[in-house]
Amino acid sequence: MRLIRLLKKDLVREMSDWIEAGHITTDQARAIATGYGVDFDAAKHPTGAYGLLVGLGYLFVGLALITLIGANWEEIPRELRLGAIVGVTMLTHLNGLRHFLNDRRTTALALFFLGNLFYGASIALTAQIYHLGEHMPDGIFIWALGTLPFGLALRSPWLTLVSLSLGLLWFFVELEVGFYPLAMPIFLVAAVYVLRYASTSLTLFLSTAASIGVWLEVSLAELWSDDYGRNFEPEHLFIGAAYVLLCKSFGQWLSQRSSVRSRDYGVALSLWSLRFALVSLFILSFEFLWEELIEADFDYLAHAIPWLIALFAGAIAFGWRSGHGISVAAQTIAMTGVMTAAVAITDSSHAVLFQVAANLLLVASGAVLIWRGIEQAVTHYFYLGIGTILFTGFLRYVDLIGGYVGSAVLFLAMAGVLIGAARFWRYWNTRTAQ
Amino acid sequence: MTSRKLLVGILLATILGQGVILIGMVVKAAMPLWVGQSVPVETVPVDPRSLLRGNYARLNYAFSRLPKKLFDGATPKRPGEVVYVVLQRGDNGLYEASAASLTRPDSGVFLRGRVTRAYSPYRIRYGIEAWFAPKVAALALEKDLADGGIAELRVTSDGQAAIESVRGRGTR
Repeated sequence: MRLIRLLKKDLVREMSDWIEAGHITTDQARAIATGYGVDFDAAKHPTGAYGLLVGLGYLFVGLALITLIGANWEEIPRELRLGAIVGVTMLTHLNGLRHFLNDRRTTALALFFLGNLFYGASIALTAQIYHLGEHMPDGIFIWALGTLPFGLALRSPWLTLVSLSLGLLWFFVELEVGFYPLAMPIFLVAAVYVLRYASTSLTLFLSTAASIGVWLEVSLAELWSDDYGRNFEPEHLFIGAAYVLLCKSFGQWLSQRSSVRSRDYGVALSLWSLRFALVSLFILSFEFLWEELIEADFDYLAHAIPWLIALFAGAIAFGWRSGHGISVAAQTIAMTGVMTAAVAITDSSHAVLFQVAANLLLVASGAVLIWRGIEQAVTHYFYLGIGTILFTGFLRYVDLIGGYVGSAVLFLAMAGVLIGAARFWRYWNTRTAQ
Repeated sequence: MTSRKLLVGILLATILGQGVILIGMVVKAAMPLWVGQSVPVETVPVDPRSLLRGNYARLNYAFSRLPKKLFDGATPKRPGEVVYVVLQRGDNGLYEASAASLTRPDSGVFLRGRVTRAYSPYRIRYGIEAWFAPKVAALALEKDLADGGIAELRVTSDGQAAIESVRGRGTR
């Protein structure tokens, strides 16, 4: 799994320099680029910046219109205001359709994007003119749903991302006012469909993976709700951890597929799962969180167990198929052990043991990342490992474990890891040179 | 039909669909103003600002919070349930809640609302909780309504309501 997959444009630029220097031929550069799923000649003359600037320009046009409406456009008669904004929405879309028919896809997409902004503004204006106070999320839902067919029909990741973002906004606003938004899977399934058939979009892919996780957690809270509303329980933490492991394992499996797009998605998902896991570990490196977890009642453990089994089984299955079965199984066993201990132990004074374990795990993760960075010559892993250890050190310096002696022991362990990594690097360099 | 023709058809249908939805929204919102019965009620304003929709006053009504005793039979169990609140004209000419139920009344003036808090006192929203106005007008209205105000509602026979106007207690 090579992170260079995520830096293809930089690779093409570098190869152009290598051709000029006579290190490789143009045909060789084309062959290398093809291996990464990039058209070398097209990538040398990127048009993405033009599309992005046009899109941003249209975004500001849309924002200007929404601001104008937001400032209460009282001087113009109600009917004229409604007619104007509905007309502008239709005309913008039809203009987009005209460009699409003339094979100017980029301009058409930008105009459809703008038309959908106007559509949202029209909904907001209607709500304002008629003083619609009831259930404002409905307006956001109608906006999101109206945008969705454009992303699906054109297989446009960016229009689908707009729809998914609005869907998420609607999801959270609905939750805020006490409702459970049943229709959220529509946006998730649509995003998965576009990811399957459209060109690569890491932003849409990662947004979809995160949205599915959030949707799963909230849906379980709804399933576990009582007369007083939705329940966010400690079991959600367990489910979240298992979901991240599933993502990591799925990413590793994807990164070994033959399709260039799958491999790109696999690398990105593994990397972001790793980053998310490290951030979570930093949060769990504080004692008070473990105290709360130990003191928790775990009323919904029986409901959570089947979900945990399903998520862990999925992670192991993908791990097995990608050749990481033992590693994923070991992580599953370790996570299950920690969860069981947190449930079984009732004395919160033992929280410090979990805290020490979390900190040692951080240091060990840092060491493994440093080792991988050196062995695979991936600087990102190397510096992520260094950063993990340094930030752990900083956290423990401002928030001591068990007083000065405990922290001193931990700092010694970190010193050992860093010095060991340095020696290993020197040994590796010497061996490689020989 | 080629796939390109189908694609253009889908896009055209979506564009027209957006137009139909917008017009439908307008018709639905305007319907009580066109055919509804005039129902004056007492209101108390609060004054937030909507980032998306401009300045508005949020209006509270006595019937926004319903005690359990107002329900004839079954009470709401979950947020989102539809509730019908029967209004009766008081001696001062203003309408007040006299009963509530989960089933639609056969006659009389009633509002259709949705439960946002499913335990007593139940919190209900009717779609008449916001009054949009330009900033200067919103501030003037806020001053005018300092001691409470009167919202002139229009209510259809199926309980859908819209605000026609809002004024201070002393103004007509």
